[in-house]
Amino acid sequence: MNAKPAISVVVALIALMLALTAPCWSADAKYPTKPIHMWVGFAAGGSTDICARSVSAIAEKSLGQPIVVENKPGGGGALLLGLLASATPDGYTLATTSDTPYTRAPHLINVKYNSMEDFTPIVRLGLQRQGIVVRADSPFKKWQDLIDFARKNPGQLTYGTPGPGTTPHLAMEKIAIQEKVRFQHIPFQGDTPAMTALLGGHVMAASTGALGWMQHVKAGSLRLLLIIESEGMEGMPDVPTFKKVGYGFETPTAQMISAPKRAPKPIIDKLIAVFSEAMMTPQFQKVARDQELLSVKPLAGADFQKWLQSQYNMYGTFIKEVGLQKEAK
Amino acid sequence: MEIFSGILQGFTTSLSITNLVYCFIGVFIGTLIGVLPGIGPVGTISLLLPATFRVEPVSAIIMMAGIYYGAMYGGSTTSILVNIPGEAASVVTCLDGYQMARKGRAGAALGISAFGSFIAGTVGVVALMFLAYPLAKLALNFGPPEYFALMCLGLAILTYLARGSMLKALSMALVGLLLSFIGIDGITGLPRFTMGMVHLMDGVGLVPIAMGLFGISEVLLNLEEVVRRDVFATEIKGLLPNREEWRRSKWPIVRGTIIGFFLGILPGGGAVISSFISYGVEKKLSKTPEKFGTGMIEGVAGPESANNAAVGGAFIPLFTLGIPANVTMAVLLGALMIHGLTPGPMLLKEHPEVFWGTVTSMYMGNVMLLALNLPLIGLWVKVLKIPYGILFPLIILFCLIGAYSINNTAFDIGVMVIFGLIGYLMKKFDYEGAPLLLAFVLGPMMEQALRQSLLLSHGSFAIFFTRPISAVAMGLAVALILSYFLPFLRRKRPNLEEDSV
Amino acid sequence: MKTGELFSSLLLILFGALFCRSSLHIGIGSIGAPGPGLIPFGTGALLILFSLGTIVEVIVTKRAEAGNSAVLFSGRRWGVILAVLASLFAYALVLNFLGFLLATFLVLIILFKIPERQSWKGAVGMAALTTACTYALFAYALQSSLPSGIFEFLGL
Repeated sequence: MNAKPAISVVVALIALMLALTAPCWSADAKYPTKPIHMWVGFAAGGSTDICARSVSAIAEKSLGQPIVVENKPGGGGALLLGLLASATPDGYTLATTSDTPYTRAPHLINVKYNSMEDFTPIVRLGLQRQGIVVRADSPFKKWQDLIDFARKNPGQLTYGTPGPGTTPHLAMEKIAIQEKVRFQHIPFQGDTPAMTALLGGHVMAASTGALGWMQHVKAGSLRLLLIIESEGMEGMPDVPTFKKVGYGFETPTAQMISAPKRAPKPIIDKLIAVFSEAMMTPQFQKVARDQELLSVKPLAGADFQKWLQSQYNMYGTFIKEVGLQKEAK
Repeated sequence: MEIFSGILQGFTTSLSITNLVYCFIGVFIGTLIGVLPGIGPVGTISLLLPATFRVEPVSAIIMMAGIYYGAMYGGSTTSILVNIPGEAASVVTCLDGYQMARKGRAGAALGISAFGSFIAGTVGVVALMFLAYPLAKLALNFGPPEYFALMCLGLAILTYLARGSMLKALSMALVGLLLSFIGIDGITGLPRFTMGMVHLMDGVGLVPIAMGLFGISEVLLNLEEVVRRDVFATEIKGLLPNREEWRRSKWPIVRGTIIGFFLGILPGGGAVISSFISYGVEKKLSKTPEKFGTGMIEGVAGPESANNAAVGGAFIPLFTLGIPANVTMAVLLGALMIHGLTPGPMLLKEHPEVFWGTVTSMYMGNVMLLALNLPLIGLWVKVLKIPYGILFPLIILFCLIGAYSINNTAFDIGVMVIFGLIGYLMKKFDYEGAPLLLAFVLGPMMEQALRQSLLLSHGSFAIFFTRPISAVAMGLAVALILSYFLPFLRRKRPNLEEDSV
Repeated sequence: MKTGELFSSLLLILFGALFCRSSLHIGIGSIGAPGPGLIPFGTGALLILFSLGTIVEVIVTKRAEAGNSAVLFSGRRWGVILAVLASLFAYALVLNFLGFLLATFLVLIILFKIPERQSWKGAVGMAALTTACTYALFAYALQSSLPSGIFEFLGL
């Protein structure tokens, strides 16, 4: 190759680079001046991902800069928080995860971050509805039937969950302690495989998020036995809640947005305002309804931090009670 | 009769100009990303998702489905040209496809995979229309024991794929399984074998391993020769399969289609398992099984048909039960939900136009793909005429970007380079890469299924033999391994005698 | 030649043994209540068994055709292989710091230059052109996020 074309290519390249970046030179304090990266701690297409994408699509309009959603799944969101802890705290890197890596993972596995110190929570998008279901042809007509069976046949009642240490699993473990029965836990990876196994009759019951079972309950192929919280469900007044059957605890899972610690306060305030506003739009409210989210009202700032801390402490004792805590190293 | 009115309604939807355009955009992007490294259908669909918000839901789904099956067409291109499997489902295509390319038959290999894909894809769609509902119910019968048995059968076929020593092939499969166990344990949620590295929490990536073992190691082997201009036969004979090659591919395509469609329905690695089961079947039925791996067109036609037929199959659990059969289907599920549609038992009742519109659009999509891919073959074959000194840095760059963009981390590049070195040494010591890679794909599912089965049976292995489906699969697996062992033992004995003489 | 066969089998035995040891550490559980280490342990044990089998097979059958490593390794361009591997490793290490454009440009110069004795001008020119084209394709057309490294301030 001749030298001249090679040099002119390099010159052209540099010129192109300068031309493309020109708008950024005059960057002043006005945030945001470039695209924001929204990391998602779970795979594309999941509930967290859908929430992140829809809220970002609305928020980017008022921010005036695109929000680029990137999935970084792994370790139930723990991998992402490990990365977020060391990300530049400039407001251009945000994360959407469930509260699992904040409030439960640190008690269950050795994580590479301090969940209560390394991050600034921005806003809580909502709480995930969960419940315990059986097949429509199951002999368990109501919750008590299932408990009676488990009491008579210790260890024979098989139930599927989206995974060990997930809130639907923790709930069942604690029920077993309260009712003094023994269930056989069959863990799956995610709501869907657990639901598939239940529909195929390979497990007797399943305890998962509502997204997994809602359509099957509506279609009549599954029966909802119990809702894992105190709030009842619209359109299904007969289904008992935890409160109704006398379980004095809850195991909520939240979807939330956070940023690395030490991001400038004005930027955090702006983000809280923008995302809170985005949450209240009819578009997001519809997505949240489709995703079976509860309490879709912005919870932000100090109140949100306080809620997270209380959840962290609550799950700490809870996980110790059901005997799932990590081994001390 | 309901089906026919449905089909009619479907065609009215899918034949509208708008939807035809979306279908074309989808298959076009799909072909492109199938060829490009790292960016798979999963990434692309999630990238394009926000752009489809303003579009009619059915158009959006037609386009995204097009990306998925378009990528299946494109995925085999790199396997054949440069020995880099674009995705797990085209690993087996490397075995004979790349050898065909080196013999100057790249055009024939690409051609037969395009025609095979077209035939299988179209048959898959027809079957999807008529069999969706009955088959969905059948797929539910597959619980953990059935999956475990099916994957045992898969591994038995794997050892059967081996060209050299069976012990070595089994060792490689076991190494693949062990590598797949690295990362978070799906059952207890505890990290295993990570050596304290955060990046390994999520396991070792499939793409870096595949690109390293197949692509980088092949480049290294080609580079070690002092002057090597003959990596590819310089004279390329004909761009399309000739009559003889067609005759040999006919039945592999038919068998691949059937295998692919039925295995595609199963959640998990339907397309992957079906591609190598098809390869195993072709090798078993061939009169010259020892020639497999040296550029047999049957070894391209069968698996390529199988992985495309599996696409039709994969839509069945999604549309009828709301159960995604693989990651791409999971993203598609998410896409449907963003558009306010819930796939599952209610979809056909509430939104028949979405189901039938998408299914019928896949006919058009397959025709478009064939028309799009055949002219491209000439272009791809020209790539092989680039001098190797210029081609190989491009291949490496292609791998570097691919490995990086899966998780946007440089760690995966390091993993790829290490596996490039391992793959290079494996070729020196006569170990094969394919069993390792396929076992790596099956590993996590296999382990989970085994552990779930043991939990269900309270520790009794009888569970695999008392349930009909798993008993049949297990029986076949045992028979296959025995059929391998018996001649193996017989063959070895005379050898021993010869040696002692 | 047997040394190569024995060497590779011993490596595999070591690999299997490492997994077995680690499996014991994380807990095997029992067949009825499998722990996270049970199946890796079994897999590792099988790998050791099969590798021992390979060794026996090599010794007993005196198989000569395979693994002729002395011939396979001699007279090859070791320098080129090592240089390519080293430069790719270096690429992985510096990518995040230097950014995609600079790191790719540099590694491509090496790759174009070393194995084929290309002229410097040719290698630099092609590296620049290739880097620019791939960047345009991946970063702009496909919206991949490639690391910008020390060029972060430019907003690339």
